[in-house]
Amino acid sequence: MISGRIAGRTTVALLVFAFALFYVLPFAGLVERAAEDGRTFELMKSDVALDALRLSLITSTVATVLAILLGTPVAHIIARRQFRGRSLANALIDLPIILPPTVAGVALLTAFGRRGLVGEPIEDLLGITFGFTTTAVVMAQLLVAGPFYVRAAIAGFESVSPDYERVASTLGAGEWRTFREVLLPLARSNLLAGIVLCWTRAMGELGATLLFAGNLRGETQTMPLAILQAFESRDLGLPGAIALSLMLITVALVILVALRLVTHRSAYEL
Amino acid sequence: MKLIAAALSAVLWAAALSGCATNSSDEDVTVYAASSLTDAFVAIGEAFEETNPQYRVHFNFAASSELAVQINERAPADVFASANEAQMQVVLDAGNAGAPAVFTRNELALAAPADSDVVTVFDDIAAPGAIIVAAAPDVPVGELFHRAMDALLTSGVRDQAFLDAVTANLASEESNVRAVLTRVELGEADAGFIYATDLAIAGDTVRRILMPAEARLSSAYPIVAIGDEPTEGATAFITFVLSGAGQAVLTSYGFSQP
Repeated sequence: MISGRIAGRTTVALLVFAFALFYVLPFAGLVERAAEDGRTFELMKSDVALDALRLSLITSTVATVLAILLGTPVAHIIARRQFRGRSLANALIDLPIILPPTVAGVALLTAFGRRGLVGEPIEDLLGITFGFTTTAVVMAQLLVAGPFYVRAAIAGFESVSPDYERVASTLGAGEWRTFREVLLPLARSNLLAGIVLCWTRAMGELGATLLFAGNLRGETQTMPLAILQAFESRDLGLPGAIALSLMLITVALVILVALRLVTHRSAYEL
Repeated sequence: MKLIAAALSAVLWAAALSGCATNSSDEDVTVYAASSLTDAFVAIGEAFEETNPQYRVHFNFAASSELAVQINERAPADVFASANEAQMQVVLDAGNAGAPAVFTRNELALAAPADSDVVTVFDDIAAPGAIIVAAAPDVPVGELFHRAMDALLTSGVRDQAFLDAVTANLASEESNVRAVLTRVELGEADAGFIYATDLAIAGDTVRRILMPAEARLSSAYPIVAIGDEPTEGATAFITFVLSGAGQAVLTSYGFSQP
């Protein structure tokens, strides 16, 4: 019995070790190469890197704010109401999560491209085109990353018993006040987790952006696109790709840790 | 089941043996060629075998940089046709070939969507609001685009203001020439800089916009026989590519005279 337990624990320990090794080694490789290369810091300060970082921060923040604004009502309806087509709505929300982002890019082109379903009438009426603009970058990020927030928000609202809202309304609180002062605080940790996922996923978006928005420094070249172009170029090459990757990893880690801290504190407060 | 397995293995053996046989034969010509030559060289290969029935041509199409590495690693190539002179130099520097000959050129071309009237003449690429797409400067066709713009300036046919306007209109730097063509085909871009050979296969959705002579730069494609003593087949194939018949095929695929 005891030897069996030891064998079991050893197996688990080995599996955990292998998992940790696999997830740590690639990043260790990045850091090792970056430390070896004397140009890393210089490359991080280059105009290409700073332009891409600025654009990535702006676009992913806008995309996340839009996901919260547009996604919260949808999540609330799906979590609280029973209606026809609810499972279809649920499936549609998950679609961008399971599909490769290149599919999202092609879909955006066929809808909002200059020959697209709505892109063509919009250009005819208003003279506006989406392709190759920073707006297109935000649209790609919103389509690909938004569902991560909506999914988390649905789970958050569903985890709160409707009884709390019923009590609040019997005490005379209106629907909006109930939502704001009862449901939102109770679902807060789920919502924050969703925001983190959406934000970091938006920052890492490559495929849809490349296809729909194109690639131009300062306009549409976000960090992932700059990393790809650096990798393929003679001037920056692998050292450039490594330097930019480390910048993106650092920013993502800061967001993850910062919002985790906020989530934990809110959990203690409640 | 056993019968099928036996039959299968017999077929495989036969295929393997014939493969060995053709590889060792003197009548075989193995040509390593840049991927952009795929369509044109398959057609040239057929024409060559028709006029020289004693030879059999085998092709290996890949990026010139990959082919150069393979040849320097002693791959069994008889002929190397490169899409640029830099990769040919890699093979020459390793002492694996003699003197190459430029057999064709691929010209920079400007393409616009057939049903768009934003860019109808070359100077429209500098018109305010035109959406222009090119390949990134590190991609050979992107490098050609930048060299063409420089040539317009240094020759004095266009001024700095023109170049600045084009730069302002540059909406995207794509990672390869096909991506540029797709932007034009989709109508996302009002014009894009590609190779003449891409334009030749693009079809009716795009049309060619004539460029000033100073901007019509091209990259040279050199060809060479591999090894100290080229085989007769290799020499015959190269002669055919350089001949009128070979050049006619290349021209029909959008390549230009060397």
